[in-house]
Amino acid sequence: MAMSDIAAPTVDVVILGAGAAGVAAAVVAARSGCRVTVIDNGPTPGGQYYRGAPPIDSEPSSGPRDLSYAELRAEFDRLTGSGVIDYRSRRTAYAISRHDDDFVIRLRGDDRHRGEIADFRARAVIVATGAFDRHLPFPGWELPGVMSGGGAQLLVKGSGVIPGQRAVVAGTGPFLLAVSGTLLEHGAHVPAIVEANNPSRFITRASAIRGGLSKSGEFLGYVSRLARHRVPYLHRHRVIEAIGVDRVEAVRIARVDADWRVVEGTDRVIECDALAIGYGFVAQTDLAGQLGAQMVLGADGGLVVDVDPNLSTSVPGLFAAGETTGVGGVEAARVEGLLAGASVADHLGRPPALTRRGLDVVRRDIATWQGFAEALHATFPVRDGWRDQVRDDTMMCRCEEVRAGQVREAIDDLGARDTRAVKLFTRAGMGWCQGRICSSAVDSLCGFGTTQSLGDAAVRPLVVPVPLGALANGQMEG
Amino acid sequence: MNADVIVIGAGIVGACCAHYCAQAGLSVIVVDRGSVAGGTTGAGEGNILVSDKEPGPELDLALLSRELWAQMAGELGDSFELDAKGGLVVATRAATLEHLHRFAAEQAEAGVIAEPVTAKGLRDHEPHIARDLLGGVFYPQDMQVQPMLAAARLLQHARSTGRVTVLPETEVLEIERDGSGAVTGVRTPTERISAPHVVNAAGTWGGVVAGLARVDLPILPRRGFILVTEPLPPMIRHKVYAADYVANVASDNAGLETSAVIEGTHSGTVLIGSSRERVGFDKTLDWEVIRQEAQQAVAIFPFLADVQLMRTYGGFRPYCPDHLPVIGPDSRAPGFLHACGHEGAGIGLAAATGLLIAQAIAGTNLAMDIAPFAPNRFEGAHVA
Ligand SMILES: Cc1cc2nc3c(=O)[nH]c(=O)nc-3n(C[C@H](O)[C@H](O)[C@H](O)COP(=O)(O)OP(=O)(O)OC[C@H]3O[C@@H](n4cnc5c(N)ncnc54)[C@H](O)[C@@H]3O)c2cc1C
Ligand SMILES: Cc1cc2nc3c(=O)[nH]c(=O)nc-3n(C[C@H](O)[C@H](O)[C@H](O)COP(=O)(O)OP(=O)(O)OC[C@H]3O[C@@H](n4cnc5c(N)ncnc54)[C@H](O)[C@@H]3O)c2cc1C
Repeated sequence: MAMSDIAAPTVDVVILGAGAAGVAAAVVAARSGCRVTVIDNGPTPGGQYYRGAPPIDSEPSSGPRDLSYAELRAEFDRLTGSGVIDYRSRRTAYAISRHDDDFVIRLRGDDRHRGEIADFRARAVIVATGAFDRHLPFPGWELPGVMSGGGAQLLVKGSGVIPGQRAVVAGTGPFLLAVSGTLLEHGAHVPAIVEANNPSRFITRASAIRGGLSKSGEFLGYVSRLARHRVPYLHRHRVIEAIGVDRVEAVRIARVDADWRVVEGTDRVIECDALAIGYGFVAQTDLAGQLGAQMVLGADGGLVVDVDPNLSTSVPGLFAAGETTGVGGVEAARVEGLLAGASVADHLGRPPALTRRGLDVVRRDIATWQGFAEALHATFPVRDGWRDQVRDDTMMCRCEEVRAGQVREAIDDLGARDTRAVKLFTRAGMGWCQGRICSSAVDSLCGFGTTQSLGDAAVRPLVVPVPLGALANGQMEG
Repeated sequence: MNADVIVIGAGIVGACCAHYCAQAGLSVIVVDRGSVAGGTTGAGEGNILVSDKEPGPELDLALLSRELWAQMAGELGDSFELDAKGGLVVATRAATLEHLHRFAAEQAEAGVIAEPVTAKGLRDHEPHIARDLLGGVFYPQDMQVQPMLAAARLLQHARSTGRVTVLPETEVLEIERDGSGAVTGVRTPTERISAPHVVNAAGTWGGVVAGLARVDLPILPRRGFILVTEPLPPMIRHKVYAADYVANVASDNAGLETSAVIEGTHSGTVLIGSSRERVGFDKTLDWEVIRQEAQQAVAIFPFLADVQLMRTYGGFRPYCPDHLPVIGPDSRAPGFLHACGHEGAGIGLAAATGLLIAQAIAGTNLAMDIAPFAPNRFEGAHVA
């Protein structure tokens, strides 16, 4: 097929995402002499954790001083200012493909500039697009006032608005404590934190790993703060229903066993006007998936990009760092970013700016944070019992209003045997969120849970919607 | 296990074969290596068209099939979104318009209802259509269904007769034949299923399945991509496409051809199909295809420029060198029947195909002559 050349410039490396991982990778790659373009859909660098907040210099960091996030961010700003790093904020990479030996990255402007599209050609790519909240449907979760933990945090930190006066926080993981802390700080009352697992073993597990001590200290700090505010921290409890007419007015909670099955007769109602739910995070693998990169199941059972010890994916020239390779927290993301920056430089034949000693430290840190992530997921796993609380009338896909009964019918009566067929029969996952909210839950409800089925559920030919007119006028290329 | 008939493939064609065989009183086992409707039936659109077919055996099959589709929808209730919305074919150039009118006149002689529409008249049919189109033809007989649901609901209905068993996740590894060459059943990874009749309804993989019985059938993939927009309030009433589409359907060109076929669906999304390319089974999304389809759609409905593309999907149409399906008994292997190779019209042609297969097996009168679809018509022919 005849195709003219791609008009966009060819750069050495495009880094997708300017969170902790992307910022770190950009600094190392640029210092190694690569021409780097960083693309991020947010207004400022920092990603999930550092966005909005000014970089603080006092955060714990086990690596050399100049590799702390604050230092990296300062260097990132310097390199951006001097034009060494080409940083494009408010741009979403909606697709990526191969063109000869290069990658073509397609960008769309933010919601105000969605008609602005552009293409980029790069010799190598680092995917550092982070993760999004994992949702586990339960009766009433679609009521206004129920939101994800990440959503609640964003609301409070971003606009200073609290989601409600009495906000129950539920789900699993230390992340619930962070969300509660933010809510308390901004004046909300937290009637209870409802943790589905038993967190007590986390301290022992985390303290056992080198460097884990600071994290378990952080965890204990949270716990004592909650005690000061007299917030009950319930273990082995779940919210099994959100109750309300126009918005959430109360939640029904119950004791659960180790598999998250409800212990009969233990349910009770807590009044509230907001509910923040967090069951961990799902890696954003869609761009790597478009290139056919190999995926694996991470420590938390979710789909992640498969990488080798240098963070190279199965696609030559494509690297992945941060939450995309496994959900492990902001420190893990930062050190993975450092390594990915060095690896991409090496791939392009440029001597990496990290010294061998520096690289050794980085690799050791990565191992440490991986150990920490394993301790985290071992303590706070998602257990199958959540499915028992899903009734046939429980909403599964909020965009397309598909209920659990329809998903079950697709399997039992219509002959669906994989995620794709369930989606085609029910439309679950076909709405605005492109399946980010429901796909992994639908997959789990069906009892698939394989790399293949989760991979099919995560397929997104367009990461975000793009206006047809912009596509029609786009550059002629392949 | 045993039955009167084994149907290989639970796509729309296999589902229709099972439906009509059950109606004829035959017992049927339908096997598919994946999900029901997980093949090309789940990767295309659901247009049931007479408008794009030139007079000849395929048009006769299409006219029969649309009657049967309407009947099946009546029997099954409104369970697969059958919508008799009609098709509007438009022309952007004078030469195309002239050709279209001539084509429509020939179709009318063959029994198609084709109503010429003036440039101004286009807007009565489609208020949001581009102002610079020269005219077109309206085809009230064109319909659409939701093909995955149609296949699944037909099989569900067939199972309720008690004569049909559906086995998803069951791959046929071999089609067994006896000393005389007649088929006796199939072998799957776990068992042997015997039946005096085996129907090859494996769509794009029909050639491979024929090979399992050691007969040749030239069926090849022709790729297509479809664009899906955000959901909208109803803006497009009919299925609307440019007259160039007909030329592309019949084309022997291996390269890329696009001509936008635009339609609304029950869920509010607008589907823009579909490209035609012969590139084997390569699934890689081709952004030049997407660009061309978007451009053509915007040219017909300018309001689409501001509408967001949500996703794309695609599949591989099963095509034969002469663009006709393969339907009927295979004289080379008694008891073996084919129902595949319907290219871009398998949804539309499935109902008639199923009926003819059931009639051929039951030995009753055939609703139409199937000689043009004979499986052995390629014998000795040079296949490109
Ligand atoms: C509310 C909340 C509290 C947390 N608290 C803690 C904590 O206390 N301690 C801790 O260790 N961790 C915490 N985490 C986790 C921490 O935020 C992550 O581990 C960290 O942000 C991962 O960094 P990353 O660079 O991999 O991804 P991210 O920080 O998520 O950065 C990815 C960036 O890529 C952008 N992006 C994604 N897709 C595209 C695209 N297609 N095109 C362009 N840009 C794109 C995103 O907008 C984002 O800016 C918390 C997370 C949340 C949500
Ligand atoms: C982009 C696109 C748009 C289209 N638009 C239209 C349209 O608007 N109207 C229309 O009429 N047609 C359209 N088509 C064509 C239509 O989709 C096909 O002709 C039709 O789906 C073929 O149906 P089938 O049942 O023959 O094949 P399939 O649906 O592919 O079913 C065959 C089945 O056989 C199974 N199988 C294969 N090998 C084995 C084995 N060894 N053992 C067990 N099972 C096996 C497969 O798993 C598969 O499920 C379109 C196609 C495409 C790609």
